[in-house]
Amino acid sequence: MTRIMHGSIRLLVGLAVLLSLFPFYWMLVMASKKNSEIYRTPPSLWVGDQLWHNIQAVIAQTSFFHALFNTLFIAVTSTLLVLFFDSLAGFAFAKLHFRGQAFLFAFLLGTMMIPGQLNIIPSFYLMDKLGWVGSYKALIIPGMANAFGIFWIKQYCTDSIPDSLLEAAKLDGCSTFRIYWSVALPIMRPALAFLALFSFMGSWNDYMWPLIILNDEAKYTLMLALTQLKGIYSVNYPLVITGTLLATLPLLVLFIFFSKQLISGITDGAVKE
Amino acid sequence: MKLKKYGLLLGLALCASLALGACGKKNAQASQGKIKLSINYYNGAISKEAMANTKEHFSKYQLQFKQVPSNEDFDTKLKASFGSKAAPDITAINNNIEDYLPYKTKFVNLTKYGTKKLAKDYVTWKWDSTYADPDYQIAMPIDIGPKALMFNVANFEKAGLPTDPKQVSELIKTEDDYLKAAAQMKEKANLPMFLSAVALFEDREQKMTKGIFKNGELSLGEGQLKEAWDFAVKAYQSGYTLDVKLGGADNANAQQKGLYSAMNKASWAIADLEENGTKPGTWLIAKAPGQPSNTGGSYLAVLKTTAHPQEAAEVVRYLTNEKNQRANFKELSLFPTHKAVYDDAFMKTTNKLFGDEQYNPYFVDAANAMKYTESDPRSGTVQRIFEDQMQLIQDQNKNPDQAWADAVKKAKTID
Repeated sequence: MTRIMHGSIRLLVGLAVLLSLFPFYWMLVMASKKNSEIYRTPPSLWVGDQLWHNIQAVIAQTSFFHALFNTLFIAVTSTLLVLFFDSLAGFAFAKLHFRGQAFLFAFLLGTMMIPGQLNIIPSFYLMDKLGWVGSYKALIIPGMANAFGIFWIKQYCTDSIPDSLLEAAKLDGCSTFRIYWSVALPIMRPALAFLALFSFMGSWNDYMWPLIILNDEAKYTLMLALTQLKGIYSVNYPLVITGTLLATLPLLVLFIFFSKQLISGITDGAVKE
Repeated sequence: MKLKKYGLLLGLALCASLALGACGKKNAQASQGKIKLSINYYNGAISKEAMANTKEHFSKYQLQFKQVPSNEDFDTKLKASFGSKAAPDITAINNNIEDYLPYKTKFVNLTKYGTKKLAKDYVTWKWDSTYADPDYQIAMPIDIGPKALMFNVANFEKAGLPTDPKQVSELIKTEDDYLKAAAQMKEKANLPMFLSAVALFEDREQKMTKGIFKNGELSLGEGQLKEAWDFAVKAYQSGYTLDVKLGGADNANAQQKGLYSAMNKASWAIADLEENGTKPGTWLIAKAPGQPSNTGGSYLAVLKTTAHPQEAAEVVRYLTNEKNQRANFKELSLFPTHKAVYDDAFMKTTNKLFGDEQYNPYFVDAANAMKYTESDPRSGTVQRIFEDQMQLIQDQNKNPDQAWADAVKKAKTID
């Protein structure tokens, strides 16, 4: 009986995996065709022979590797800064007690209620006044501390870091920053892993802000570079899909890497009171 | 140990950010000396040859052509940069120039730089569309998308309709002729003439000679929108439409296999047929029935924030001249607005898709016969309301009278 149940569960999980993988397979199929083959009805379900040709065309038409490097640089820098500033602020809100703390936290949460689109034009004018339009500073610095990340770390710190541990560190003579860095930060690792993934993906996929800010093609991110494949009158779909496939691969690798980190982080020896 | 590791990573990130700022300054210093003009355009607006010609012609300037993502994204970036130090000197504008005419003060008035005398060289309606008022020209035209009738040869033969483009042009002259031919197509070949009710409605909307707004008030083309609506509804109810969505794989498949028989299309649709693998000889081109119409076509404008309006206007004039429009046509199939390009060789252009047919005269006829209709920036929004209701008729069999009433009610809310 249990064997049948186990078998059924495996079968269901297997089917779910196949269903989840199908969009990636379909992307591969479309990326390996000619434009005329894409329009064929019924569509061919098998991988075609144009993949390498399409990859070469994408690389030639979009300065792909240059854009990949730009995107990696922006995403890694932003993520490191977000991790630092969000964890610092989250820790402060969770564990330090200061005047106006409740008001400041409510204010911070309030900023999450404002749709991002409303921010675009005022932010652009601010960047323009600062002379940052066209520079990576405008992509990295405004986003280096965000309300969601601070909220997330604050909640995690409140639940997972025992006050007694911080008091013990204080008794041992640690400064507040030292307590944050050497005691709290290692405990935050699972929350930081999630925030890193979230922040990296957000930065990697960001389109509208880099579109408005960047003026020099040499500075374009991957998402901007890929839209160059689209003309006003016609779209070569296999090239667009090949570009999307190539842009997704680093994220997939990162996700696989971070999923291990997430699991190991969660099972790391947490301190119990 | 960990403290050092994290500190190192953070330090690296900050150093890199600072280094980037320094890079920008270095590049700016290197470009000093020549007059520098930046030109924002989108993929498919200007040919590589035209850009190379212009750089060579203006070797005393430093011209920077910057390709920006197209369509709405291009507009978003352009509108955001109005008044900014980071705005380009010259920008392409897509066929939605009516969105920019109310903001004429953001653009340099090109008539100040001698463009008025060039009017006779360009297709009249397109030239007229560049004026915000009689003395204020905000842009110069690059290309247009005049429309002609593309018909499926096998289907026309099956229905007993002529297949010679000249005879088709003679037979299908008016919208009524178009519907009569559709009836014959259904009766004799049992095939739909048109792609869909929505596509037909959109095609008729482009033929309107009166605007959606008149003196700022909603006028719906003084009855012309309703005529377009009734035409599409009649074709749909009579079973003359295939009812497949415009654009996309299903339409391409229907074009390849001849699942419908005729379409009014801009010249650039030839490239669509080539791209989607349609076999040569499947479609031929005739004169479009009814009013001449157009889809697409870009412009070049100079932004007011430029430090060099005179030089930028010179570049715009050169980029839109005969030589560069020929280059655009050759490389990107952009249909020229400079009438000098419509010479003998141009009129005799052929394409293997259409055998030895010389089809350009049909497009040129449409280009020359078109008249400029003043358009309100809200027109597109109102038209989409009616198109959405037509979609409901097509997809959910909504009562056409109810759909029209709902669309009018919603259109009245657009300020």
